[in-house]
Amino acid sequence: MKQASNKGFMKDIKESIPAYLLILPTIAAFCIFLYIPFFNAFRISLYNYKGYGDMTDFVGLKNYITVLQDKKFFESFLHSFALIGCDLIFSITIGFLLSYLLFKGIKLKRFFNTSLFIPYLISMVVVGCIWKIIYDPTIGPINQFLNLIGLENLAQPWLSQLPTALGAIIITWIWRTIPFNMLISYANIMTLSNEYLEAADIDGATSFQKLRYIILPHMIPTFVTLGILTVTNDLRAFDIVWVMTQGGPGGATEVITSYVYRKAFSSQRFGTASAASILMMAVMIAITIALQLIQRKGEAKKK
Amino acid sequence: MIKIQKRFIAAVIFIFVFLYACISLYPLLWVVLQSFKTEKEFLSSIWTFPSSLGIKNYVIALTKGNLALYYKNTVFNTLATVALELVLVTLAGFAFSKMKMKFKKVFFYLILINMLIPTPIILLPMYLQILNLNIQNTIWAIIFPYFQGFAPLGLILIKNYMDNIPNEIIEAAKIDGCNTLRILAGIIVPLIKPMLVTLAILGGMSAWNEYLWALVSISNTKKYTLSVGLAVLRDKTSSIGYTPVFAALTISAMLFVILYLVAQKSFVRSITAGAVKG
Repeated sequence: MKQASNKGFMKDIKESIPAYLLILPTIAAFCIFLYIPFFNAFRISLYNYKGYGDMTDFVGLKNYITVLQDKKFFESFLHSFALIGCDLIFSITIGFLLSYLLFKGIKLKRFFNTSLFIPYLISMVVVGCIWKIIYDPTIGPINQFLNLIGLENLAQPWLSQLPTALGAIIITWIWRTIPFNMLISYANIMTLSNEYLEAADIDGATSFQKLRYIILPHMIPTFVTLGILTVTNDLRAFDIVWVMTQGGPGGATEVITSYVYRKAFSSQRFGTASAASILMMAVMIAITIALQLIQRKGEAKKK
Repeated sequence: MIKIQKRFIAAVIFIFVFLYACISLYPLLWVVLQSFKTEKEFLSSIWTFPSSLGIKNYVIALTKGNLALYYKNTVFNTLATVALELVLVTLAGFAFSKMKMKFKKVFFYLILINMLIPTPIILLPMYLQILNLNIQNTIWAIIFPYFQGFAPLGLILIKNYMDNIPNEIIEAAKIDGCNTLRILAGIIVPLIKPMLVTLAILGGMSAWNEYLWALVSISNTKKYTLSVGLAVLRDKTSSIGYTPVFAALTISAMLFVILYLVAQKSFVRSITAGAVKG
């Protein structure tokens, strides 16, 4: 009996060989560039390692303790969460609002529809370079404009002082992400069946009532998706921060990814950097799972 | 009365959207305008229009700023990445969608799990891995990591697309004696062309824009991509001036803006399709 099932198993495997051959290149690439490095990350985190030579200096959990005692580590989390929070509130709201106004109809709709999306097509690095110049204390348009209208005392070095640096970066980030949220909102608002809106018109509903009772409920799944994408994307934020401030001044704009990058490639502390990245992954996975659970719960409720 | 009110609201809405459009587009237009000015013109006022449409800054950016080289590298990297992504994802997608495979779910999740692993954790060990394999500064150290980042989303999209292709078509081809590769090339690929365009746009955009991995992995300045090169160039304003940097920014940003204006529908479709949550 057992032999028979074994035979069946072997037969299944044999019949699967063509499929295995097709996924082999993908799986091989993943082994070499993901799984092996991934397990290495755990190993490195237990050593005092500078990125070259043999790993011999085993230090156990010392790297983790070092990271957990580093105030900068927690600050980088805080900054990442500030970025996520602002992005969730402002970017999604403004993105939706714009898509709603375009949906309702507006003069030059086609022009707006096309042109408002353009910032999303510009790479983060280019966006960072452009906005760094815009915030420039001397030649930057913001300060020059303030001087022009007689508000010289408001002009300041936006990116190189503690109180404004993080805010300036978050504004740039939101500027770049609104178009995406707008596009996805617009695509989903368009799937709303016209019948509902027409029926509401016949019943004499106002624009606001239609927005409140028909459009917003229809958009909730979209907002959830955009929220999840925002969180996962923003946790990886690096390009704009690195191009604009390199995490400075004094760590005021350090985010999770730039923290790891600095530890590894500026200070050559691969062990500590790996420990930090593993702790970050734990938090990120916890957040991702929490989001999925919340979403599942929401969907279950609806059914 | 109601009509006037409605008009008023429409005007307010228009002004709101128009103001947003100014904030959204002004930085880009400003950079493009400055890129045509001479350095002296720019430093004397940042608000004026250029006196002539000189391309001198573009020449400086492309030659002295090495932008031509970075551009070539980026085009090469992007095309190679997209080619690899399309081929591997099509092969794997077909296997997952249409073929008999023991432990299918296990393998599928082995690939999807990458969505849970954040970039920074894999950055260092991946860097050590390419040193180990002795492929630093080669195309392999670019395309495989990029493929690895793209594969989960690409696989989900292409598998879902292939799931909609009726199995009868494949069965019929099998009876006619076609082998798997013939079926793929002759029947499946023509049917999934729209999805391949979508994947090419998504993969192409992310490969073109990628910064962190290029910054970490490329040590040879001759292999720099636009992203890495631009960040370097930006810090050289004191030696080559501001206006060539504006020209460099314009050149780097233009390609995808133009592609988008030409093929807006494909872009919108791709980006909407790519917004599936992990």
